[in-house]
Amino acid sequence: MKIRLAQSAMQKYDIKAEQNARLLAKSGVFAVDVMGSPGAGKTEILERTVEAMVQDMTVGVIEGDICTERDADRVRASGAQAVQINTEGACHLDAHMVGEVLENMTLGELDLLFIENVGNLICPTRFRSGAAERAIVLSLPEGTDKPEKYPSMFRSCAVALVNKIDLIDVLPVDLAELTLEIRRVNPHMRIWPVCARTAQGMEGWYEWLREGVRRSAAGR
Amino acid sequence: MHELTIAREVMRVLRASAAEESLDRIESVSLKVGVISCLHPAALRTAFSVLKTDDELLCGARLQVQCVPVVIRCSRCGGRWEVDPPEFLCPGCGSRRVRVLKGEEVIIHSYRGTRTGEEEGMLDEDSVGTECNAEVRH
Ligand SMILES: Nc1nc2c(ncn2[C@@H]2O[C@H](COP(=O)(O)OP(=O)(O)O)[C@@H](O)[C@H]2O)c(=O)[nH]1
Ligand SMILES: [Mg+2]
Ligand SMILES: [Zn+2]
Repeated sequence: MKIRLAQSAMQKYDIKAEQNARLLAKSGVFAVDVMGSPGAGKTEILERTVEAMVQDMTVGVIEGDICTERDADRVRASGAQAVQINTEGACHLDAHMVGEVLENMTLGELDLLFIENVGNLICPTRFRSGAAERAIVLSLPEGTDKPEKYPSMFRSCAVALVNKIDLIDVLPVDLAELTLEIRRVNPHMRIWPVCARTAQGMEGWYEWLREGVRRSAAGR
Repeated sequence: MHELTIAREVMRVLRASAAEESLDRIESVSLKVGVISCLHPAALRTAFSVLKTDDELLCGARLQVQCVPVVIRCSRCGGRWEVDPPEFLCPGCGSRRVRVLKGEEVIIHSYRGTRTGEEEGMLDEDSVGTECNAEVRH
């Protein structure tokens, strides 16, 4: 006997992501997924960003890592309320893991929430967390071929931070070419070349975040 | 290895459906996997065959994975095209402003099951299209 299901295998995750999105919207929190390879500088970017934003808002960070509490400690030191999720081997965060953390956070106090995913350009792509936006951190040492190799990840993100531009003189990487490669797979991408160590070039990103925070607060 | 997560989820859905249909054996399962779904068919098959071994309902189930190509809609000229990733480019007008209509999905399309005492006859014609073993883009 043949049974036709025509059901998405992602349904359980997509439904939870929708629930998370509604909860965040109702609480007036602007949430941003932070994606990228291990070592791209996701946490360092969040450290600088938290330092800059906590002047006039409350910032939360959910850190997803296979193990350790190290990244949560780092952004906590920058002034964020931080929760670490250890995926215990899993290669991505999913909406159920994030939802469990959201339930235990005082969302009413937060204006901005970052969700740093496990460093990986494949597995997390299709697992939405419920965040309103997705940002990708790509560092110069990774070269210019990543957008073409991982188009789905790059297409799923609205903004890109090209990190470690302090290394531009020592690496054979052309920033213009990299920008072109990103736009080839995602012509809508907003791109900011930055140095997370010095916070150079991060003003545009901060402004984009403030705009999102204003929108989310107004929509509450 | 998020294929393991997906394989587990596919089995959970099948178990629930088989219980509803009072089926106690699943013989084959047909999945439709988009070529930019970030799932690797071979890894999915491996995960499925490992997970099913001790499962009474599913141990004899064959997994058929049908690849779904990328179909885009051009935001400029409105054309609908099948394209080869990573080139998200309208073949009609050259615009890169395109929306993906198909190719990202992971669908549990159908399955074939039996009840004790009832034997299944031949396979039906429309069961699946081309089996996919090809490399999948992420
Ligand atoms: N030269 C340079 N190194 C950086 C920069 N940002 C981060 N790093 C270094 O890159 C390494 C990985 O950073 P981390 O934030 O842990 O990356 P994550 O794995 O993406 O979270 C650390 O040693 C950082 O100090 C930068 O702008 N320039
Ligand atoms: Mg990190
Ligand atoms: Zn066109």
